[in-house]
Amino acid sequence: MVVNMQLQATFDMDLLQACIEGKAHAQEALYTHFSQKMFGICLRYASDYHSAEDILQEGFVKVFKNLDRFRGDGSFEGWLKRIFVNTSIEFYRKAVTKRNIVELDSVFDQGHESLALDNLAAKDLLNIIQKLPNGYRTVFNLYGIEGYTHKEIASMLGISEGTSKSQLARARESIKKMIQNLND
Amino acid sequence: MKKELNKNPKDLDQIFKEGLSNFQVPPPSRKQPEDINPLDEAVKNVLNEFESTPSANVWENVKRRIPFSLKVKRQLNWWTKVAAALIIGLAATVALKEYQAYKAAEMVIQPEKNEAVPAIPIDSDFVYELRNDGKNNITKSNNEESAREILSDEVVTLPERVVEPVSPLENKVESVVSTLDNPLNEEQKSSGKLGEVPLRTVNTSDIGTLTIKEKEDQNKEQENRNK
Repeated sequence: MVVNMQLQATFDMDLLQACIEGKAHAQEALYTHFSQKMFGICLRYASDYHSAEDILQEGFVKVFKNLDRFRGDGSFEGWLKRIFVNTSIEFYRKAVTKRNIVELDSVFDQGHESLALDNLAAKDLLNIIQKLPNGYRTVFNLYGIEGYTHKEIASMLGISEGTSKSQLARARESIKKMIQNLND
Repeated sequence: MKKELNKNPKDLDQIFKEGLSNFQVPPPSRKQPEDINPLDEAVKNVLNEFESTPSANVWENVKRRIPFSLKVKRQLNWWTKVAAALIIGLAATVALKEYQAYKAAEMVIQPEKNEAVPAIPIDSDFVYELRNDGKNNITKSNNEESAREILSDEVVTLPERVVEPVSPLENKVESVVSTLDNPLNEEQKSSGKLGEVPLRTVNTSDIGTLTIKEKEDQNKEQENRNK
């Protein structure tokens, strides 16, 4: 296992070096290797398939332009993921309108209801996430899936912590309702 | 325990090993049990590893926008910066040299100017004396020195320098003519001989910027009129 990881790391570093040197085959190999996983992230943050493709495209351009800045401290995939999340946030910032951000101080759902998610396919769940308003979807992704705190989300999105909390609560409510509708 | 440690420092490692063998790094503060939401976890479990294949044109678009080589690009950027710095340095040097040359030239020219100023008659545009030599030739003197030379035999009072705007030419000619005594008396006129012409000082302000030729022409005209 350790050997495999080392091999993978060596392969990645060689691939990166070749990409930095501008070798087209290496760049295509890197894209092929990571595009599906990164597209999954983009689909979670985007409202539709085409927007997700736009995010993916912008993200990979950023990756190839800044490959030489990857210092190898952490995993390359983690570095890539951060770039795509940041690119998604940039798209969110462009798309967001004030009506999508609604302050809601009191609502903070703590209900631990059982959810029939097992019956749902990933694509159905993705559809539900994509149907959420921009603010809800972004906050839910950042908090629920990426694991950022409300403070970090507030800083990233340029909103208050209260707004982040309220957006998350509303996102959860909306997801629950949509899942129930699907199950019914 | 202290005694044991003093005896063998290697025991310290063992103690820590035993003490911390079951220790686990606490989860992040927000991942406290009350922060964990079953919905979030369920969605995360389903979507965290979700993958999908994008359409082929995404790679085509990305490929078009990739820099040909980051190494070359960075090197080009570095050389561009060096070139820009050199150009700025060169321009600054040239500008400095130009400035120094200009300053040096100014320093050379300045004393010449100072010396030249007195050599150029201030009153070059003014006529101090007009002298009729009796043969209808009028000598013009336009500075004090030459006027003194020309009129060395005569008692002349040089007028004060008057620097003021000159009046129109015709008026000046008339005023000049009026100030000159008629050089010929009746006898001379009839005999056709020219006598000595008395000199008279002419106020420069009355003469203005007439040239010698103009003055001669005017005198001839005056003589013709007198005749």
